[in-house]
Amino acid sequence: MGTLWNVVRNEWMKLVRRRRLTVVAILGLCVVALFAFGEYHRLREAQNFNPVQIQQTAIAQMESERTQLAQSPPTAQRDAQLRDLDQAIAKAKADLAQTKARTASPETWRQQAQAAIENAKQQLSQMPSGPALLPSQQAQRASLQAEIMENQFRLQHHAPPVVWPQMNSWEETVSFLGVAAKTFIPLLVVVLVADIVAGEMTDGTIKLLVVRPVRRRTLLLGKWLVVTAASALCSLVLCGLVWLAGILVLGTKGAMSPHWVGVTYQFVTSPDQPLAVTPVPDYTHAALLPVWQYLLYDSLWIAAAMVVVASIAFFCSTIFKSAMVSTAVSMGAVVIGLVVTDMARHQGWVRWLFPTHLNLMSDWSGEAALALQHPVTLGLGVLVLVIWAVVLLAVSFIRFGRQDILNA
Amino acid sequence: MHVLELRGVSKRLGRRMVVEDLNMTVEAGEVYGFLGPNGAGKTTTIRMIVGLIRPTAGEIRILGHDVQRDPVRALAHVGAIVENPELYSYLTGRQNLIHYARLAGVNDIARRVERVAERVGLADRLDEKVKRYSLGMRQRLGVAQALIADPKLLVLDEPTNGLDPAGMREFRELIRALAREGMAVFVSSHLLAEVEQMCDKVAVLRGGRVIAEARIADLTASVGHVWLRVSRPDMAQAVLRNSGWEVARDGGRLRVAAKDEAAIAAVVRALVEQGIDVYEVAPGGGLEQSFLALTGESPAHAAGMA
Ligand SMILES: Nc1ncnc2c1ncn2[C@@H]1O[C@H](COP(=O)(O)OP(=O)(O)OP(=O)(O)O)[C@@H](O)[C@H]1O
Ligand SMILES: [Mg+2]
Repeated sequence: MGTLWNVVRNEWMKLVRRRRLTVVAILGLCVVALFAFGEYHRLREAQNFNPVQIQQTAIAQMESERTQLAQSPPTAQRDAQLRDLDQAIAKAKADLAQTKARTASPETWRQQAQAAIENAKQQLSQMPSGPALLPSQQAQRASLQAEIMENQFRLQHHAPPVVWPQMNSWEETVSFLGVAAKTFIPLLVVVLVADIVAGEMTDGTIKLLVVRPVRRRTLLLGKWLVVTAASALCSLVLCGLVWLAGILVLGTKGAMSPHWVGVTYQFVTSPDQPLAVTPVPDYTHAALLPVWQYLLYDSLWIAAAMVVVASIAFFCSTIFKSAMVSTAVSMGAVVIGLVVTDMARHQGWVRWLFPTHLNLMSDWSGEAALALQHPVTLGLGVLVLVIWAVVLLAVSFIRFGRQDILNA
Repeated sequence: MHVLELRGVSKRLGRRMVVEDLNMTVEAGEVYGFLGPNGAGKTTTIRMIVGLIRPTAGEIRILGHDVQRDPVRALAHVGAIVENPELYSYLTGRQNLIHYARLAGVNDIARRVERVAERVGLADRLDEKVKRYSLGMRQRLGVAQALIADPKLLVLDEPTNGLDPAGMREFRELIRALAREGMAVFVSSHLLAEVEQMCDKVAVLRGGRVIAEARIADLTASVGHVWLRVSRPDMAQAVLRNSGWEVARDGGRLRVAAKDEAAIAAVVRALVEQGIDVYEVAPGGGLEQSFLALTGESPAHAAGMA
C-alpha cells in the first residue's frame, strides 16, 4: 500500500510537469473558447430577431396582397383565393396576439401549459386503450402521457418553456457536451495519456524505473490510477468551464427546464409496413430531471467514460514502444470508432463498440436508442465500457509484467 | 553469502545466444570488472542482473534472493546504471532523486538526497532542470540515483562515458571508497586501463562467454616489460643483448622484458655504466601482456578492445 502511494505521488509529479499537460490545457481552453464564441454569435443573431416585427411585416404584406386581389375582376377562383388569404391573415393576427401576450405578461405560459395538459388528457380519453393497440397508437399514447408530465413539471417547478429567440445556457451546455463527449474530450484524454508508458520506453527512463524494488504491476497500477484520475479531473474541469462560458454569455435562466431520463424504446415494424421502424417509448422507469441536475449527471458520466478512454489509451501505451505510435493508434481508435459508429449506427453490433457509449447521458435519456434504432440503456452502456476497459487493462498488465525491457 | 551470484545464466535473443553459461560471484567490498568488446553481451548481462530481462536459463541471486522469483527483495539492495542513465529531463535533479528515493523506500528522503548529491559533486546544481545538465553532470546524477538507497550492490554499465579525465579519476576514487565501505561493485567496461585502475577482479567476455577471469593483482605481478628512451639506441640494444636481456627496437625506443622492479634497475644500471644516457623509463603494460596471455589473443585483438 505504501509503495503504491509512493508510485502515485511520483507519477503525479511527472504528469503535472510534462509538456503534454500544457498542450491539453491549451487545447481545452480552445474548445471552451469555441463554444463561447459560437454561443455569442447565436445570441447576437437572436437579439436581431424580433418576432413581433417579423409577424407584423408578414401581416402587412398579406393585407396589401389582398387589396390588390380585391381590385381585380371577380371570378370564382379569385373569391377562393380571397377566402384563403383572409383565413391566413386571421391566424397570423392570433399568433401575433399570443406573442404580444407572452412578452407583455411572462406568466401566460402557465395557461398555455394548462391548456396543453387538458388537451392531451382529452385526446387520451378518446383514444382506444388495451393491449391490442397498433404500435403507432402505443407511441402516440406514450408521448401524450409524456407531454402531460412534462407540462406538469414545468408548472410545478416554475419552468417556462424557452422558445427561440430566447436561449437557455443550460440546454446549450448539455447539447455541446453531447458532441464534445464523443470528439474533443476523448482526444484531449488521448493526448494526455497515450505516452504514459510508451514515453518512458522512448526516452529510456523506464529502465531506471523498473529496476527499483517495486513490482511492475504496482508501477503500472500507480500510473493507471494517476492517468485516469487526471483524465476524469480534466474532463470535469472542461465541463465546468463550458458551463461557466455558457452562463457568462447567456445568463443563468432556465435551470429548471425538464429533461427526460430512463426512457426506453421498443422498435417495432408493423406487418403492413415492414421497412418502417416505429420507436415505441416506454416511460415506466422514466423520470424528469431539471436541466441543472441533468448537466451535473452528464459531467459525471462523461468523466466516467473518459476513465475508459484513458484506459484504452493506456493499453496502447503499454503495447507500443513509441509514444508517437501509441498516440496515433489511440487517436485513430477514437476517430475511426466515431465514424464507424455513425455510419453503421443501425446495425446491432455497433452497441458493442466503445465510442457509441462515450456520451452515457444519451444512453440514459433514450436519445442513443432512438439514434441507433436498437434498445440501449445506461446499464448496457456502462457494461460495454467496463468490458472494454477490463479486457484491455488485463492484457496491459499481463504484457508489461513479463516484457523484456531491451531497447529502452 | 555472495552479494551477487550468477549460475549458468544464458540469454537467447531471437535465434542468437547473446550470453551463454555465465558463472560469476561478487563479494562485499569487491570491485568486479566485466570487460568485453562491443556486442560481447555486457549490457545484456547487466539487464538480467537488475531484472529488466529474464534469463533463458540459469539463475541470478542477489544476497541470496532470486531476481526472477523475488524481485522486490533482490532489488532492494541494488543500485544500477544501465547504458546511459536516462533521467527525467523535465524534472530537476532533486526531483529525480526524490522520485527514485520514494521507489527505493528511503526513509529520510531530503537528507539522503543531499548526502548523495554531495558525494557525486552535484549539490550546487541540484535544483536545475536536468535538460540543462551537461553530459558529465547527467552521468553524476546517474551515479547519485544508483547510490540513493545505500545499496549493497552497485551495477554500473560503462559508467565513465562522457566524463572528463578529472571526472574519471574522481569517479574511480569514489568507486574505490565505496568498496572500502563494503559495497560490492559490478562494473562493465571495454577499456582495459580503466578496469586495471578500478577493479580487484576482472572477467573477460567475448561472444557471450566468459573466456577468462583473474585478480588484477595477479595479472600485474606477472611478466612485463619496460619502454626505454636513450641517447644511443643502437649501442644500447647491443649492450643489453650482450648482458642477456631480451630487447626489441621500436623506432627510437627499446622494449626490454623485465619481470620486476629489480630487473628494471639492473637494466638502467647496465646502460649508465656504458655511458648511455637514459631519458625515460616507462612501464610497458605488464597487465596487457598477461592479459593477452590469459585470453590467448593476438595484440591486434587487444587493440580492438582498448
Ligand atoms: N533486441 C535485440 N535482439 C536481438 N539481438 C540483440 C538485441 N539487443 C542486443 N542484441 C545483440 O546482443 C549482443 C550483445 O549486446 P550488448 O548490448 O549486451 O553488448 P555490449 O557488450 O553491451 O556492447 P557495447 O560495448 O557496445 O555496449 C549484440 O550482438 C547485439 O547485437
Ligand atoms: Mg553495452
